[in-house]
Amino acid sequence: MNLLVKTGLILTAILVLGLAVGGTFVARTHTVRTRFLMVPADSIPADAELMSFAMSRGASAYSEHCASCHGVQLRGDPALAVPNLTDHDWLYGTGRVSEIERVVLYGIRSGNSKGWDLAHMPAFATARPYDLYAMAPLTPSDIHDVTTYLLAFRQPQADSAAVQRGKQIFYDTNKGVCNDCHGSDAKGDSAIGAPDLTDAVWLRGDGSRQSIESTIAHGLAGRCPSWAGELSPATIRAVAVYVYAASTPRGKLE
Amino acid sequence: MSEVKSAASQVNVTRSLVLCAIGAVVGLAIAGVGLFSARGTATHNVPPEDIALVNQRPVLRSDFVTQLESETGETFEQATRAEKLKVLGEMIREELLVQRGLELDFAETDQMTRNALAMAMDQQALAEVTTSQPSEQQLREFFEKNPSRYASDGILTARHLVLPAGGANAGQSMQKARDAVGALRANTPVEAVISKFGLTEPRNDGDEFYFAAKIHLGDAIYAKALQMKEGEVSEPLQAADGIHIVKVIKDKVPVPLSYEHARLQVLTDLKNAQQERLMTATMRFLRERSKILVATDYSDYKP
Repeated sequence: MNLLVKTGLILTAILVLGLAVGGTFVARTHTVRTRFLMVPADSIPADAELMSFAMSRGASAYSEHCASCHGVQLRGDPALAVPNLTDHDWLYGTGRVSEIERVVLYGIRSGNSKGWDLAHMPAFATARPYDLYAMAPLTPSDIHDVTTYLLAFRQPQADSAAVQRGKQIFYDTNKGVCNDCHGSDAKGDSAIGAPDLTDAVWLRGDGSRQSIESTIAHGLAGRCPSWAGELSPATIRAVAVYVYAASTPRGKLE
Repeated sequence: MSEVKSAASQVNVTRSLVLCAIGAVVGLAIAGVGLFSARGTATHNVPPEDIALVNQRPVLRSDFVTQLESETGETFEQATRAEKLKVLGEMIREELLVQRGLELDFAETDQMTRNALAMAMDQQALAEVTTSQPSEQQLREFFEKNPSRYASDGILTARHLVLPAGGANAGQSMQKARDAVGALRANTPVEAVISKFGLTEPRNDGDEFYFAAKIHLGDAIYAKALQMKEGEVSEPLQAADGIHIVKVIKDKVPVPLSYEHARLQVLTDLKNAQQERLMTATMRFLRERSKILVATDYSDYKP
């Protein structure tokens, strides 16, 4: 009888201790989670506890929902114009956690009206290059010249006349109107997702003449899904932090 | 002992009824407050991901930050407390107005709301397609089922000359056109032929994609041009506005693309096809569950 009572007491003590430890852990996690969601997203990278909370959750959610397009290593797929998330070259915004969070939440051309969908690359080798307003198609020579102009940003081109013709089309309000989205310096506009055309980072292809001509001819309108309503706010924010960390040099995170 | 037991087990009917009535009144009061105060079964805590709850409808912190930054042109950290409160006030105001709009059933009466709702439904089909990435096998199958879609762009360079109608009589005009064709076939420069025979050239854009050449030449002449070899000059082609002559300078015919080259286009086409299929299925579902009555004078209507 004594033994039975003793055993009972020990088991009860273990149970109480277990509950206390478990309860403390749950409460602690809940507190961190609450703080994680309440602080401004951009302040999370400076907080080691929140970063640690985000990284494991972000990694598993990324792997489940994003890796099929952006790849396990987050390096995208230039053949399918899926952006590399590790190069810190951002199409939309400047790569802040809050901006990434917004993309994860509402997507790009996702069908969610809060997502990014202000413009897309026209397909200039079609009768109606742009569906939002009238725009003249380009001829194969025009496309060749504009490409030559763009290539000249990185390497001098032998055909300077083609560079000049391409430049003219780039700024021509009746023909290419490329500067309308890509900017007067061709450095792009992150407010509408227009890439910088002067650097060595290419959303689609490898920056070769063939791939640039193909993009001008056939256009681009990549999509990223909206995860609002599908994933919890904490998971969405964790994915944003995970992507931010992958794109930020280690030294800058601390 | 037995007397005590019997007293304890005695039922106090009045007390039971009073307690029951109090319970019922309290229940009714709670239900009434819930029903008529538009607060429902309100929670009094704002979830951490939200900046506010308006009649239990959340206003997300993320939306708040976006609106704040877009209104002020500053980052969240740079914005002042007053600016933050102002934006919060605006977002709560919007939510209240939206909720009132729903109560007033604006979807039924306001055309802009109707347009937005219809568009949102279209977009929902897109959203479902966007969240799923087709496998490599699906892409390949789609490519193999639709090989004609994937070819390089055809490019045509042609000179298109016209002897306008209304000059000499028909026979003389035709003879003149034949002479012009003869000169072109003898490799006389096009400009010289134009000037010698009084021809016009509606436009000369140099090389053109097939679709553009078709628009500029017109269907009949375009079809004729595609049958010709490079350097070949057509016979005079009589049309309402005059006699047309085409000289094909260069014809770069489309060649089928490999799967690797066409992959991006295949992905886009497959997703578009999936979206269309989903939308068709949605419309079928909506029609099937709806009772649509059409006026007798439009009884020939078919969806």
